[in-house]
Amino acid sequence: MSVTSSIDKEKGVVTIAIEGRFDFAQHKAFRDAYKGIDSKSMKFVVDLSAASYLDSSALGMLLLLREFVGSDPTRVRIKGSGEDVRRVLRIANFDKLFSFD
Amino acid sequence: MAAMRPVLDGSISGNFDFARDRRPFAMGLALIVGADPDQANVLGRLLRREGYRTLAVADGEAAVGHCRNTRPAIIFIELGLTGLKGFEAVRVLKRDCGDEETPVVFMTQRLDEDMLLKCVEAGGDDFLAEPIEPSRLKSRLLVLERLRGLRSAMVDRKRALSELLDWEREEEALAERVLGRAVKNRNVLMDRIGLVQRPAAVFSGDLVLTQHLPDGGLRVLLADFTGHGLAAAVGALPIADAFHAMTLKGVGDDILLEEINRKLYQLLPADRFMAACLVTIPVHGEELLWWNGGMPSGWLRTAQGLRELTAHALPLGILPELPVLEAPIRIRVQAGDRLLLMTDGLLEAEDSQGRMFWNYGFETLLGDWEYGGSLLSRLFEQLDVHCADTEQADDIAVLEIPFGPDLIAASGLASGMAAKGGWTAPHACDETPVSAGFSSPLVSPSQAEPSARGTALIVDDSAINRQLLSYMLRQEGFVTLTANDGEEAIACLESTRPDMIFMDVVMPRMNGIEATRAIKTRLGEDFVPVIFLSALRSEETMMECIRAGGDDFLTKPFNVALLKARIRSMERARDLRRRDAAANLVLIELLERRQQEQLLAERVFSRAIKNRNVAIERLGLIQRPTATFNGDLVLTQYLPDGGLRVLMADITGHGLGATIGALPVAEAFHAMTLKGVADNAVLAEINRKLHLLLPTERFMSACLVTISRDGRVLRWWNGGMPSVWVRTRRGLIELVSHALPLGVLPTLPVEDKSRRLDIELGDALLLFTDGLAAASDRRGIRFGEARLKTLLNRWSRDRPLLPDLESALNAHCGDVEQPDDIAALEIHIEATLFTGAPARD
Repeated sequence: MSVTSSIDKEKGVVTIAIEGRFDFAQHKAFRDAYKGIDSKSMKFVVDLSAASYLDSSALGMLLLLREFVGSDPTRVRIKGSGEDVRRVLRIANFDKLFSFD
Repeated sequence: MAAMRPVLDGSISGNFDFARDRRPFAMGLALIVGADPDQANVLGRLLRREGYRTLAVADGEAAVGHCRNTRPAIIFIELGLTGLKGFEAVRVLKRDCGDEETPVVFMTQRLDEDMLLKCVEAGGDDFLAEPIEPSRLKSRLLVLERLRGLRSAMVDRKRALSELLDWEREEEALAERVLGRAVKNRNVLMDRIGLVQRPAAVFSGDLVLTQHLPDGGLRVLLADFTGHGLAAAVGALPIADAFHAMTLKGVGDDILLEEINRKLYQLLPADRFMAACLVTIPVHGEELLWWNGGMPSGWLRTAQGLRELTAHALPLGILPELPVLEAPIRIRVQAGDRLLLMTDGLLEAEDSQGRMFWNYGFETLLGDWEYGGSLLSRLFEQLDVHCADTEQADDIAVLEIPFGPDLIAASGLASGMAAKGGWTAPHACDETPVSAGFSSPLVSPSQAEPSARGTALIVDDSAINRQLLSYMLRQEGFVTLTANDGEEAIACLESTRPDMIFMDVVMPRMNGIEATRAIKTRLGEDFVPVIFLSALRSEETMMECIRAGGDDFLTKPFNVALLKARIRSMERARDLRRRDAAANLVLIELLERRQQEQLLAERVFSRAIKNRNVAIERLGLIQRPTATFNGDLVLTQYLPDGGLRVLMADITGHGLGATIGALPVAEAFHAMTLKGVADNAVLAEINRKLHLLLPTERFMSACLVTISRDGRVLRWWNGGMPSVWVRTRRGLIELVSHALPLGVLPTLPVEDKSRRLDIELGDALLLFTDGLAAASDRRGIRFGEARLKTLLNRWSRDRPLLPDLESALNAHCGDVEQPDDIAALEIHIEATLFTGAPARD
């Protein structure tokens, strides 16, 4: 269980990678990962390729990030989700709110 | 939907189940602080044999530096260190590193009394004479490890309790936000009416409502629920709904009061009610209609003087119907008059000596009230002077209504009254801080006044031993009691609770080990140290004493200086433990009070939600909530054309916050369905409400299905729920989630419309929340989609599915506690489904 973030200044992309369970326990770490970053100049990638599980509070955290970037669907990209994670995102129809790889 | 509620383990008993793990390093790190490397080597070797990892440092500074980063399991420290002296170093370790749990053992060549007491004062727990005897070290380790185990169990429990409380508080804060918005959003003219509210808790029991009448008049309600917790706040929602809806329609005061009374009577238990003042001001503004049921008098300042408007009616919610005699009263007013309304929290606000504002300040203030001027800001200045920092037990709300053309003219210019009056924003009081009393300095040795150190019970069959020990303990400031054997000791506990027990091992009738076991069981979480004093020296005896619940072990004949020091250190351990237990008790009480309040709120809530559902007995329904409050919601209602509409929803989280969001949803669902509003409009309205009420990260997944009266058309909408399954003659049809959950976006996307499916009588539907597939067995394996699919494939026309589903679920999960609420609903499309529905148009 961990949240790591890396910033590619050249491309203007912040990548937040979640490993293991993505649930309420990651709330603070996830918010810290984008807090203080200039939301207007950067794009965000949430990398879920190593996430094993997603619950509704994780969906809530994605909504907070979406709000942070001004609700622009092109500014947050979600990538690399496995079968279980994808099912949760698909049921919630979050493709209407975020871009997916 | 899943969002973990912390789980609390069982309680800590006085009998600590003691087991040692001697695998290498299993016992954790032993820090050895000493200048003599040979000594450290010998000790290190002995400790490693006992399962410790060891680290030796030469002086106090190094030890302190090390403890700032990691916490050792035990510390051995030499007294005569260079630099930072031994007990100086320990004082720093215990104080600066915030570590009171780690046992500290002093190593010294001299066991003289002064030195030993200084060590205890510094925070030492035990002593070893140099050179170290292996068998003594072993026995001391047993005692210290047990002590540490007890302490850390206590600390863990405190942490668990705090986590649970935090979780509850977070849910409550959310619920408060939802309730506050739902109640206050509809109020009108709040910029012209002076209002100050000071809730005593997160949830206020005071309620202020204002609304226009259709003819331009104004109606105001100030109410006060008994209690000021959650249940009161939840009860406010249906009242607010009735108040606004009926006032907007121009319903008369008596009918409105009758309706509110009826609702409250139905929702609240017998011992709860709501005191209220209702003021209605007709559009001409020359009179007011006054009704006061159980509230403090209202005060009307007219040009002629001050008029008291006393309570003339019973509070609401006590009787099933309001007494006829208690009708509203007509009172003449004119522009410039002002009316002051308040809850009793104002009058009973106390100063530090418990004197009430009513007798000290309020009356004088009323007497000085100048005609035409506002009293409110002066009132609160006075109140602040009166109360100063005294915490108030009850919610305070005060309302001032200025009569005049400005008040009634809904589109008039702002009168500027608000600015002049200096009305303050509601100001939330924090709850009693729980942390108070958690941290206190190490216990300093008490003075040797008689009885200053409490009562010591001496259990020994030898009269000489009893007398000797008794004499010594009295010198030390104890009151002493004696018993000849175990049975007498137990009998002694019937009438007194000693602060420390000294126990011989071998005694006639009942020996010390048996007696200790019985005593510790009886005392439960109340910690009274038992110190064994025995001539027996074997490790087995010692282990047995410790297992029985003994806290220390000294061999006879004992060294008086050593015994005195041990008593001191044991007293500190006892006080630490009692302090933790007391703090935990506060937490437990807080939690219990909350849970009680939640149960009551749940009752109010589920009556408000479930009372209006229809045809529930003809639907198959399983609901398994994980907490008192449930995030899953099932609503049913007939349309005017006889069709049946069902909503199954799942609000994120499953505590209070989630449930409270359900109330406005239920209101909208029932009211709009009864009026025959179409699916998409109902969804749009619920979405709008939720978006307004819930914070960004919370939303509601939902399925809405509407079945036509003839059972041939199904309209369905699925936003974020698991697929709905329809069993038809031609096979299973899956209705996949095609829309966003509700409350995410301010308006629903245009493509997220409800869809149509042709069905026929005899078909059936299954709806469920994601808690069903997520239900897990002991190994964490989910019930899963595959098991569900197998069951669905066996679903036949002549047999309901739910009983099979339920037994499969039980077989899978056993009695494992589930992380998420589970709800499943089965609807058979049959003619009887519409029995009781409105007749076709």
